[in-house]
Amino acid sequence: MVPAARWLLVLAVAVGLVGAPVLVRAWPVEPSDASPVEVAEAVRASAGTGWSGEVRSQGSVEIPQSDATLDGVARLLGESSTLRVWWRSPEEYRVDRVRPSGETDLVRAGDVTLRWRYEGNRVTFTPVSTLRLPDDPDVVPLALARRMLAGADDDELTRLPDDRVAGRPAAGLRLAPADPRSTIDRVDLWADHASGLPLRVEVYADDEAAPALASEVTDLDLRRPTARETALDLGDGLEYGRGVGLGGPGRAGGITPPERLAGLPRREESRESGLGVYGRGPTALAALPLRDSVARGLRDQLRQVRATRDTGSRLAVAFGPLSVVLARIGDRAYLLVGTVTLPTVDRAADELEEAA
Amino acid sequence: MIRVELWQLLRRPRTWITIAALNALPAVVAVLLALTDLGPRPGTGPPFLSAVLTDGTLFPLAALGLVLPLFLPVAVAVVGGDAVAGESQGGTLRYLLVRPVPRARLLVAKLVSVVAFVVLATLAVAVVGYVLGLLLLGDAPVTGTVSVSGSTLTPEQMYVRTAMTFVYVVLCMLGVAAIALFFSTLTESSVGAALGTIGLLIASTVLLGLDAAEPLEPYLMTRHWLAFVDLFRDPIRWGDVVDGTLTQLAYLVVFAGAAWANFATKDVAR
Repeated sequence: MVPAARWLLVLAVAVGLVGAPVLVRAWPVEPSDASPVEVAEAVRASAGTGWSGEVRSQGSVEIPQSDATLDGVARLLGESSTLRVWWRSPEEYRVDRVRPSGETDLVRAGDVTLRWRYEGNRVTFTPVSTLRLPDDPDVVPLALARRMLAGADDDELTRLPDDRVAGRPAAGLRLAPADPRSTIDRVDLWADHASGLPLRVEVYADDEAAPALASEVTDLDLRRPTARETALDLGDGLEYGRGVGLGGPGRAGGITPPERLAGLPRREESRESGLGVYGRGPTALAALPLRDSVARGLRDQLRQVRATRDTGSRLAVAFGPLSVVLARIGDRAYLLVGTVTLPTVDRAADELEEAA
Repeated sequence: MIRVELWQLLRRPRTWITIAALNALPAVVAVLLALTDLGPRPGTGPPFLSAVLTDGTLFPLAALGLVLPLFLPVAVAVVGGDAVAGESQGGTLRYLLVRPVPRARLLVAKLVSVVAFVVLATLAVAVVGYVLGLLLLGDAPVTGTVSVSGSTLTPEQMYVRTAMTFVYVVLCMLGVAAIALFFSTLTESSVGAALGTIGLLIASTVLLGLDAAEPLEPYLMTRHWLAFVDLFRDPIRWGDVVDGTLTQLAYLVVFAGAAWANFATKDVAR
């Protein structure tokens, strides 16, 4: 074999090894002829689909971290995460946040969540509550897409070109909120042709070219996991504790949440729990009464942010598309947070004060 | 020819000095941990190092985690870089090629010799780490070793997973060995070949930390090196381990092939 032929052979092998995965990803997808509404319906209907796999999420919202209330949100919306998921239903799943030298596992079994953290060798039990900040399971594409599509009007939906995600053909869908109070410009998602399971979700803030939050299934098995797979097999010698929720006794903090806040209607599911969650889809606002200890930590955290507006009884700041107001209303601290403009959240705080 | 190369590897003092130097860092760390009882904060530092104070049987894994990112690949780059260039530099390559042996076979013998060094060095780090862990840091808790996912691993499971880690670390070094061998056929300077290999390793590490280089990530040699931690999750997370193995095999095939393409008809002056 002449030298040139040897080098050509090596080059061909190298190109083959590098190009094969690219070729598989770029292989054209046979387009689905489903309408935008049909794709949205398929996504909503996939809520009970059992599956397991891996999810990679990437957030670009900068929230300062200081071991306080918003730290979990800061990590979720501002960093990249790798999650292992075993999903039996929205009430029964296991989501492991994988780190290079450790992991945090979160298991939901009905009304209780169990969190294991390797580095702390500690297990924490927390009752499931509507009154909570976003957590790892909320960025799983299935949960994120359902939340974004909740209450979406048909004329806000358009189709996007189909794509291949986790090796499967997926139908593209765009939701562009019509409400001018929303800080979300658009939500792009891709759902599996066969099951309707959302495989990739990208949330774009106003005037941003890159997504504020992107979440994608990178490995998918559509077999429903067994109950054993969603449970944690914990050994002996661990520390056990009980998690503390955000809110104090009385949940709604003595104030009956108004039916509308800043012009946004109250959500049905929050009515049952006596809490104030308003708006639809990505145009959402929550008003949460906080425990004093939680409010103190959050106040200190917000005061460290230069952009925070501090009026003594109220702290207000926007982190990318997320508007946050911490207000003292009566003898209680309230956190008003949502993907609506800061003036909208301010107005909501004013109305809550009047209601008190 | 392979037997000759292996014998040369074993009788060289440099081989044993390099292996001793590789074990120096884990030994110092074990002594310091035993004396001060101060481990890194959980979640920080090399894998498993925060856990060795309560379970000395994890120290072989911590020792491999300590040497894997830098010291082990540098040692492999030095030995691999010397494989052909060292003969050329010493003026012995010409005499080696005078024998009626195909050049490809000589190259395979050199590669086998470098791989043997990788196995020897990795085994030494694991065994010395195990002994140091038992002597200085104590036994596993009576309740068993806690996996990264919180389940208890029996001693048998620990042995099997530690053995898989050993194999994986050896596999991770195959790519480095092949690159070093390729550079070794390009130059007559052993140092130059080793530095070229180390340069590629540094470039891979720098690109890994760069968000803009994300499309390149699956192809970077160092991307999956620390994936052996996934062998201690429950259930085992195979994805990165398999990807890491395939990546190393791809580097081995391409660079060993390039070494063959270059060396087969190379003019040898010395």
